[in-house]
Amino acid sequence: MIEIIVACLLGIFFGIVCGLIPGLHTNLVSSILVAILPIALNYISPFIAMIFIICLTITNIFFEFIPAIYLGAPEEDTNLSVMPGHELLLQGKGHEAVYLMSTGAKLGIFASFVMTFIFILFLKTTYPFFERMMFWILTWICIFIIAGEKNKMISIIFFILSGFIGIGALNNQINQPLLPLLTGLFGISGLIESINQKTKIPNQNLKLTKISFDKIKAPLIASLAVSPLCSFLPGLGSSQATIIGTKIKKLDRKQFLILNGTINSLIMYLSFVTLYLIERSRTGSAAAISSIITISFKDLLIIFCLFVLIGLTTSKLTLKTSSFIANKINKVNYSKISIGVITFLTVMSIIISGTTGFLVLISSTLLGLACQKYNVRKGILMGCLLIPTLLIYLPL
Amino acid sequence: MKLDKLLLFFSLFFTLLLLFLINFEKPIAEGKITRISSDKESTKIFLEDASLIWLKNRTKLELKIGNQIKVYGKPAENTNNTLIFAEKITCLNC
Repeated sequence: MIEIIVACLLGIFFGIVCGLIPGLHTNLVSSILVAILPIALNYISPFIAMIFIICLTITNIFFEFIPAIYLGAPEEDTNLSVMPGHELLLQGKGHEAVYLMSTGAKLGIFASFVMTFIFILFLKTTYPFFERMMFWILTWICIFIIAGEKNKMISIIFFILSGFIGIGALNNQINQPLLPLLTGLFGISGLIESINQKTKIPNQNLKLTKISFDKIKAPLIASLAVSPLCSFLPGLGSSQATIIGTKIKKLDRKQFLILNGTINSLIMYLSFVTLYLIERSRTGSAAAISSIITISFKDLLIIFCLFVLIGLTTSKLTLKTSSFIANKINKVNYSKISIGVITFLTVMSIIISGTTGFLVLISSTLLGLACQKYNVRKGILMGCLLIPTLLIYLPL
Repeated sequence: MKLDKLLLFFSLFFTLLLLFLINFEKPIAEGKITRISSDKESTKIFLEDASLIWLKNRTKLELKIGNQIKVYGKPAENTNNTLIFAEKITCLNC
């Protein structure tokens, strides 16, 4: 019992650290975990290691909202939330932005209870069909994303160019290629723009307005429609699910943040259900767990209970941390913070991904900046992952 | 040239450079095939240094035991580079 409690507390602690450090995504943390697990398993049981990974994962989901909103430094799952989140920050509502994403994440945890039964009933029988149709599903998603843009020609150019960068990043032997790729496209480019515009963060309002059920309905429906597909099909993740979700239901800025939060937690939990049902890992955490244990139905129930308990606890911790940061952020020079974050992310990219990774970072940052100058929505740049995946599933 | 066009130009330039660099990637494994086993979904190729090459059954494979191959791909993260997901295989003595 004590071992379980210690594993939970350590998982929460490291989840907070990993969530708050910009650019340190769960997949990167999971790959570090997988490397050290063989040593750790000499001292702890696989079950305790699983508890630790789950607690770290859940905490990270909530705490990664904070650097995404306050520093404009997103990770793979939060990259699309940077723009609307940053807009709210500039209106003095950064804390509200974190609250909205946190509420969405809690919603996702409870929605996953319903989705688990649907998955258990249908996933095993339908999965082979979806896998065969993968190329056509991805093609449809690409068309769906571009069709919603105002200037389609420019959007297609940026989509294809981001696809080329993705191909370059994923086919050179770079360690953790997604780090420089997504950091450049969505993180550093946005931070450079903030410095250019001499962004000054206004006083942050800590008052939170209660979210009505009508406000939640649209993002909840959109996430329930999209997340299941994106949680078990390869090549699709939270970012793609968010883009599709916004096309299914028209959402305002606040609903978008709720959607992003819901999708993050829903997809993460459903990745464990997918691991149980069809033994496929779709997230770094699921891959880490699959390397040490074969999940049983009992383990799945334990994972769900942890998601609920730790999720509810962590959401409160996240809001407390957010209110602390919100009180301080307008007192510091935001340009200096942005420069500091850019330097940190660049150094991390070079250390982890090497010189070729640095080249990816430069290309992706330049494209992200160009995207902003041409007023193209940054969601288009998800071509960096969609096009390489499309090529893998090309039916030739 | 305007800033937006300049950014797009340099982005394209560095992207092409990245794509060019793919030609210089080193193989992740190299050796003689000692065993090949296939099932409905995948083919596993065993090399003499105990590396296991895994690939999905999407294209016809014309490799035999004794072929010397170079493998390009990514190692599975939890297997000390002994399990490799192949993206490209070059046969040296086919």
